[in-house]
Amino acid sequence: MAQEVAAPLSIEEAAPPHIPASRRALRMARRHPLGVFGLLVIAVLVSAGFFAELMAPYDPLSPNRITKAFAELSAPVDAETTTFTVKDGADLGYGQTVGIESEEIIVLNIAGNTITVQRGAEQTEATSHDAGAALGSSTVDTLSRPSAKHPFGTDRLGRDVLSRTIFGARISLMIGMVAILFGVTVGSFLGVLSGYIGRLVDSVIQRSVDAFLAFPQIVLLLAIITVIGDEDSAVRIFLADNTPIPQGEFLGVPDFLNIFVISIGIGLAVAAGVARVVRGAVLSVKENVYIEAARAMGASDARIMLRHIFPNVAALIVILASITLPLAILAEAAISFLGVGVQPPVPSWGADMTGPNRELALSGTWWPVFFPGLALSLVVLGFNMLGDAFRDISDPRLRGALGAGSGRNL
Amino acid sequence: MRNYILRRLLILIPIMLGVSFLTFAMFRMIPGDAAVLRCQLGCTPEILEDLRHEMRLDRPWYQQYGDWVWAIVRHGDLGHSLTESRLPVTTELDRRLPITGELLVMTLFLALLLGIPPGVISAIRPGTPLDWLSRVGSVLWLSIPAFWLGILVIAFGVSWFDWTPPQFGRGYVPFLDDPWVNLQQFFFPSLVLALAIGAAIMRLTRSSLLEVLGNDYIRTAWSKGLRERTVVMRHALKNALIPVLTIVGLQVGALIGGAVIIESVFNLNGIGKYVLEAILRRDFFVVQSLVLLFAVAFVTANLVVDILYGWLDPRIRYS
Amino acid sequence: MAESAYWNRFWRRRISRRAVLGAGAVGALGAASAAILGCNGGGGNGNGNGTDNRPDTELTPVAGGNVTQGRLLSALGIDPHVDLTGFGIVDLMYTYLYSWNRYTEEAVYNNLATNFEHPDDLTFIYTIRPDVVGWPTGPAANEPLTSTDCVESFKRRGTALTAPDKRFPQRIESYETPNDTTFKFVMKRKFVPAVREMANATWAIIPAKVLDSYPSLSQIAFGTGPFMLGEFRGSERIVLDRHPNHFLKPRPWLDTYTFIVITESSSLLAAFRSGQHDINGAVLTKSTAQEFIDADDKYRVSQSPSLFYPVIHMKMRDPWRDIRVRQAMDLAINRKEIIDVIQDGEGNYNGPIQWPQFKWALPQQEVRDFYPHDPEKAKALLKEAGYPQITAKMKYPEVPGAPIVADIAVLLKSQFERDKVPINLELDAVELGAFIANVILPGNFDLAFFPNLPYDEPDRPLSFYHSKGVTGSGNWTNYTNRELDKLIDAQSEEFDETKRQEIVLAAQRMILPEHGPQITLTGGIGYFASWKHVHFGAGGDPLATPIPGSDYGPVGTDMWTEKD
Repeated sequence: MAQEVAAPLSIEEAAPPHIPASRRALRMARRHPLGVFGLLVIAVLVSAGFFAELMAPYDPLSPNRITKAFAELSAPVDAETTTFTVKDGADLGYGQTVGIESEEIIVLNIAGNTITVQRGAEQTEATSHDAGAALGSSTVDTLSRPSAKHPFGTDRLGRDVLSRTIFGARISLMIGMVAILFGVTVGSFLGVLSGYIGRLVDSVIQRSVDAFLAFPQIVLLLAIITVIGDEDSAVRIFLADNTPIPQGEFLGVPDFLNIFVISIGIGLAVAAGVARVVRGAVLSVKENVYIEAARAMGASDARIMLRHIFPNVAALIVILASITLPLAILAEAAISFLGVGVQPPVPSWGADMTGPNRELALSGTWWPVFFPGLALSLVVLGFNMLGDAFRDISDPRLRGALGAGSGRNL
Repeated sequence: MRNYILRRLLILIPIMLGVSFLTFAMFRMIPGDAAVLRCQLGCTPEILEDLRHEMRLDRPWYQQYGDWVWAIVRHGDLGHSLTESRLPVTTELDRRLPITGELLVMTLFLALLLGIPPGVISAIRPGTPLDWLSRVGSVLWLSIPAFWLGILVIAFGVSWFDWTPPQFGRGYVPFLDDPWVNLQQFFFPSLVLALAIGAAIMRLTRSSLLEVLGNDYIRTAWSKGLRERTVVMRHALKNALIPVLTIVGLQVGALIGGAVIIESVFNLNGIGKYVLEAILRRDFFVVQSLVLLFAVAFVTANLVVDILYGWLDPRIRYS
Repeated sequence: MAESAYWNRFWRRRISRRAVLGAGAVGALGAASAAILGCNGGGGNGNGNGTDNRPDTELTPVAGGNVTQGRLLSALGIDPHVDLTGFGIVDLMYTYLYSWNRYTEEAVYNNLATNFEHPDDLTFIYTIRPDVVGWPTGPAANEPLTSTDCVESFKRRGTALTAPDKRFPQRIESYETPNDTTFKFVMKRKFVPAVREMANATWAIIPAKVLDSYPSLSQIAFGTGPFMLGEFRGSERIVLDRHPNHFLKPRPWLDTYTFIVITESSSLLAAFRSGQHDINGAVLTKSTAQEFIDADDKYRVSQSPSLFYPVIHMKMRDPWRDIRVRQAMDLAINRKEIIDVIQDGEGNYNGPIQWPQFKWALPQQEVRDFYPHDPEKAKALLKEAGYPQITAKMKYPEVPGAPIVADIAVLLKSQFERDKVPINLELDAVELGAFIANVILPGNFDLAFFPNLPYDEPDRPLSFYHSKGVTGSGNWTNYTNRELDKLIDAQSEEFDETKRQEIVLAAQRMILPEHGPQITLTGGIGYFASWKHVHFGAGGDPLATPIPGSDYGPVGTDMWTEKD
């Protein structure tokens, strides 16, 4: 039967409405709330990485000190007094130096509530104190619970856990990025070379890659780190002598060269996988006609690889980098956790989750172990959610409701 | 099919050789003198010389490599510990293999259990809250590091329930000796490991099933008026699970790596813990042999998966 | 006042909560101050207070049962002469000439030897029991140990390739066995540390027949000690069975002694808490041990000074060659804060010989007076020496799971920063094996943080200051002081204890003003926890001075358990 034919539209009417980019972005954001969450998390991670000094309330390596009051004088004392009585003598120990205000005294003996002391070595002014004056001493604020002063609490050396977590983000980000930069660069280079040139080069590279990929990742990583991480390893010596990479503290990261070496190690493990994937992509790009054309025009292999092959696999490489970055961060945390990677006192999330902190977690001091792990989980979660959102946006089939679905929606 | 398998098997040999050489080279590159590690503060030049001879370090590297490979191939001798005890690797392996084996089997089982049903449900009810829950859950479990989870499980178990995993005080209890204790020993470690893998399986099952369900022959099935269960279970699922099998094969590597970590967190004396402890005490001969073993196992597992894949996928079977 | 009685109460005391709160003698200032405090001083709070029971000496042991002890270290091998990871197990399986009372620093003849003659400084004659028989299995089944076995064991210990510290056996000139129960050897040179050494776990007397049949005893054992090797899985579980014919029959009381290996300290603690094993097996800090101290109806907690004391080695080259710089470093370190933070507030200062060695260490007050915390003076000294700013690389070993060395290093660095002392410590962590091989032994460091192990003989700690060094092949700090060398050599050859004490104290007083080549810090207190149903005998310590009328045997023979 005849259908009604709509009147043809003019060009302006037919063109899709122009929606400003910002509104489009907002709409996308509303449809993918998890992706937004992921983006936020990564933004926090990156800012912690760059602005750790600004964001962290304390130095992650320094113990924090407070003055603890232990007891109160129960009777006034004056310059002549060498025996005090206190209301509650808990925690005072022999040889301990305590103070009443700024006057230093050394505890010589405790019998019940009576404390025999030695007043300051060079006493210039006789001072008297009233009953109720507090005896205290400056001490390190160890193992304090999360509070307003230390939102994540302090660890066994009085270091602020929040600051350690923030600087841990910097370490994780740094290691992750150096590892991925190195690994993806080396891997892509090998992949392009291997895929394009083929023949012997391809065989050699592919067999080596196969050998690397034959190891389970953690085991390979442990082995690599053991080999290159040593103080006298060739890699380390090479880096120390020939590059300007600082060996001590740099960018708030102590022992910088070590961190760098660990990143290289992780990068090596990543490079193999990248090489294989890139090679596959190059193999298909290689078949394109314009490659043949370029060759016919006399372009050298190097030029073809650089100008034609590489740009075509660039998108893939970027995706690979974004997938492997969280894996690199996790890998560093795992090996530091096992004791092989970053070592204390460098604030690494993995290293902070093990050792004495683990023992303390059993007796109720959960915060030194909990927060680094939470941060790590959030970071990986963020990356995964972001990755999911991208995939959803680019591949509608997987979205379900709008796609082919169960086939019922015919 | 036969060609397929044969080709796969043949490639195995050069890979093994390559892996063994790589392993050997890596560990010869470790700086520092293995002999010094044995005598430490008691080292004198004479002792060092004797030790180096005993450890065969005074031979040229290719001879050391050859000796090592020959010992493995001919006698199954994987070397021995560098420490005084000279504990043979094979002795320890005999004790530890059942433990890691049980851990891996249980983990795979739990992962499949945790991954496939939600994946299926998610795929056949897309867009529903159940789907959303599964997807969020899977991302969550994929992201939480197993070692953190493991520590928290133990810490909470101890603090709140006064419970410790039985392997802490008892050592390994084989399944046949006391199934209940054995299951208790392996349940939480396997669960913690299985969560991430299960999440990956769930996601892949979901996307794979979704894709399969969009195919024409499924539409034919619907049009025949078959019930949902028949369509999904009998027609769609089998094909959807093939890529899942591949993933499982790929995950074997992650599994072994995870085993290293989880065994150390939960104090299971398996091969993973063995490797880790050997690395920490710089027991290089042991690490060398074990790393090779891991690689061989990994390659073999992949081969098995490849073969299974070839058998399951009719396109390959009949090519 | 009976010093040993005081020490018995101090060492390995059971702690009740009140005692700890009352800050008992835990922070005691050492022997000298102990005298000031008196036997009835603050240190007396421990015994009989709180919900406590009668001391073990009043209870009757019950035969039978099993005790499980946790272990952090895998026992990779149990050859007593060479395997260092077997300690704790080999002492239960083998017989030694005598035991050593760590607290009175005396030999206790409750093992193989019944008598010791020392006609001159070079001659050692031991009379041994005829009834120490081997286990019912093995090449020497049921046969008694003879002096020939002693000779063969000594020879093996002295010549095994990787046996530790062979200075003593290398000085043995000859052996004699006039009869089966007399063991005699003559030395080339006097060597006093030999007396302590023969009691340590590496000097097991093994039947010669066993040595002939088994060149390596790493994975197998045939001994004469109170317990026999049952099940041996070194990284997991070791079960020892009672030796039915031990010479102290009916002891040992226990049927089995089990070791369970848990290489991670938090897991070990978790298992102990939930009752999976009876003796924790690892040294605990006060904060970790507090919950066990509080629950004194279930647990028995004893304390002992920690003999682990890290020191900082300084290489004798600029700037450390200048004594003013070394002194500045000493003044800049706040040792009290180290005690507070690292050692949970309980501990004492260490001189060249650590404070728990009461016989040899300098009086605590003297050490404290010598190491005040004075950053202003440190700054002045540095300025005077011409070093307005020093950057020093301090290397320290990474011990996975036990970052105490790293912790102290971090604390020191923060102290210098807080007090604005111009010494910038660059911390450089090196893996433990590489640390020993590449940093310490070749002397490749400016500052090296060395985790010293327990010594209960003054000779070893002093040898760090000797120009020959600890290994005998040179002092890795390049320090030489001929006068000091003479004193150190003299003390190692002086058998008269009083004279030796004088020499040792004099040596330390010579070392102190040098402010180097080691900086000694502080030593803390370690806690040991076990469940109450396990009894060790002898008031909590199997090696305490024997109470007259009783007869305590070597390690393990007097342990018993209330549980089946």
